[in-house]
Amino acid sequence: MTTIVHCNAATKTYGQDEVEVHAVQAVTVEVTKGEFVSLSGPSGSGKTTLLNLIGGLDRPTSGEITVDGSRVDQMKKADLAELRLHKIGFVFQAYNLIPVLSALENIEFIMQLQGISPDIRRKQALSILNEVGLEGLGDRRPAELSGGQQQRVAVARAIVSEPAIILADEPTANLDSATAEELLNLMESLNRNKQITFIVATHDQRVIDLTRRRIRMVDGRIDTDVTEAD
Amino acid sequence: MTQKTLIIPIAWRSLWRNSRRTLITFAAIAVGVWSMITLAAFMDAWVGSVVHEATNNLTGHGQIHQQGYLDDPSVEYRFSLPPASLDEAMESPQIKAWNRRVRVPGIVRSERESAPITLIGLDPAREVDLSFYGNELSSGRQPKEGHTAEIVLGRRLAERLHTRIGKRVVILSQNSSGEIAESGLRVVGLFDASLEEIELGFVFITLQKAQSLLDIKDAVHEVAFTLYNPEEVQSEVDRLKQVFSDLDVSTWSDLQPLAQTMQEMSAAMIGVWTVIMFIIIAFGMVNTLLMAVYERTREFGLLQALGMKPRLILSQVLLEAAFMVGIGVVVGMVISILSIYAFTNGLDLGPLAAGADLFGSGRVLYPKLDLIIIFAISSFVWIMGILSCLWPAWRAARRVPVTTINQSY
Ligand SMILES: Nc1ncnc2c1ncn2[C@@H]1O[C@H](COP(=O)(O)OP(=O)(O)O)[C@@H](O)[C@H]1O
Ligand SMILES: [Mg+2]
Repeated sequence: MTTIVHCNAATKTYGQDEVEVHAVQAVTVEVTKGEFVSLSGPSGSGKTTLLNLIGGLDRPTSGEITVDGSRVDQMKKADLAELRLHKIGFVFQAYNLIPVLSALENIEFIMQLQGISPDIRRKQALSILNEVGLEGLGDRRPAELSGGQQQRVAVARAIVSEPAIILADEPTANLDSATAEELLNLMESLNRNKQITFIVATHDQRVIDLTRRRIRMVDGRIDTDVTEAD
Repeated sequence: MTQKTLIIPIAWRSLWRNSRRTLITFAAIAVGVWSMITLAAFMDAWVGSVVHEATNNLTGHGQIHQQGYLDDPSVEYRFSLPPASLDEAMESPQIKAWNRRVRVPGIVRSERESAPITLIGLDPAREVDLSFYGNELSSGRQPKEGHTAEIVLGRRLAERLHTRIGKRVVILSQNSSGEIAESGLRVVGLFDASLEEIELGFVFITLQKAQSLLDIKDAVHEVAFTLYNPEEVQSEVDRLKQVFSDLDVSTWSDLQPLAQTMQEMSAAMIGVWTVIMFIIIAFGMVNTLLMAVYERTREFGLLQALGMKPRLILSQVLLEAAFMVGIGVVVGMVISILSIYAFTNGLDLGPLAAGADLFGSGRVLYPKLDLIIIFAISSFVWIMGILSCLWPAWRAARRVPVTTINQSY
């Protein structure tokens, strides 16, 4: 089994002197290819911070973080950008899309950054758009899409370049329950059919129930880490 | 290549997100550029007119005198050269026209009035391309060649003297031996000049008549010349100084220091105005772009999270600035070209000029479409505009992504 993410005593401390916040404390965890991991825990327990550390959006105060063989904690800004571009897909809670680009252009954006030729990326973007159930909506701007549709576009964009891992931070938090379930089913089927690795930070019980591996955080530490047998 | 081109639609469309703000910025840039270009064109036209008036009113681009004549323009500071040596010196490919003149103070008297004047003896045919006196007279004709007792007056002087064509006037001046020279002459022509002082102050007779009246044989007081290219005046004057080492050779700006000063002043004014306008424009642009960047902090964070390199984000914001300034500049260029074009047939300062004097310019200004100036000003604003947006762009690119994305919750 290929290790995609490896955290070794990863620690992130915000603030200095008296008011230090230990957002993530000595987290050691390993995620292998094809896993569907949920990261749960109360608000402020460090889920977002841990995802940001793995995604190279933030640097650990100490500890090691490896993503697909690269030491994220030691990389330069430009190299981190390159790593995110090719290996990591992000889905945030909201504002995932570039407002001035259409849904299709948003999906193409990543491939364009990667330097893929226009006809190939257009074809691929259209097929992914169908895959996430948004056939015919490619020309719409984000503002013309519902919240659920926007999140689907975000998922489509995250998977289009076949990254090593997708990090999703509360992707369903702004959605009603039916829409949230559809989005989850989409992610689940992508995970199952395409072997895409997901880490989803959430405090939504339905999301947790759907995942095979459930990591629960409390006060910046891993409280429980349970993998369900298939 | 394909990585770089993706910022074009983002930059272009981002421009129109707050279209009202963008349009106001365009308008401000356009008005600023328009004011710079039209000011430069009209100042240039005005200076051109001042110089034209200064040189066309008998000054020419340069003159030769006896030493001392300019301090005391009287009959004794004359000079006499063998005609061949003068011809040889003035047969330069740079010199367009030149003429010899007798020029002394005197008094003209009609039956009713008298007035102080400058008496000028010259061959009118040689004044073409040299001074306004080479133009056709407004009425009457030039004196017949030779020692004819005929005179041309300015129209306004004739009115003041209550005389007219066909009547006689008397000229008084001092001859070479210090005696009063007096001659009765018939008025045969009247001239118009754009400056009142010329029309009131100058009278013209033939060169031979003037020389015999003053008893100075073939001597003259002044040789005036114009050049094909006025810019070359200094080198031409230097050359003539070598040839006529004991004479006084001057450029028009030595002779008309006021016109020279105005030329320099206007160049300074254009420069100062350009800088002031540019600072105003730059503040507007930086402000607009800073607001735009600030509002989109989260978006720039997203771009970085998606793997867009900071340098490309910087380029995107600069491109947005380039579009913003570029469109403003082009609009400004177009309206300046139109507004200058509207006046290529002349801007008549007549109504403004009533009573006030025009600081030595003519009544009508002819602004020119100088594409080099227009492009120079436009590209200056464009490039400096983009440069002044480096700061907001750098701020957009520099943001630590995590803090910007977290702002959304
Ligand atoms: N940029 C920051 N500066 C200071 N403290 C922060 C920052 N980001 C997060 N924190 C703190 O770190 C802790 C963990 O936050 P976070 O990772 O967002 O938790 P979660 O996503 O589980 O709600 C919280 O106490 C939060 O206040
Ligand atoms: Mg969070």
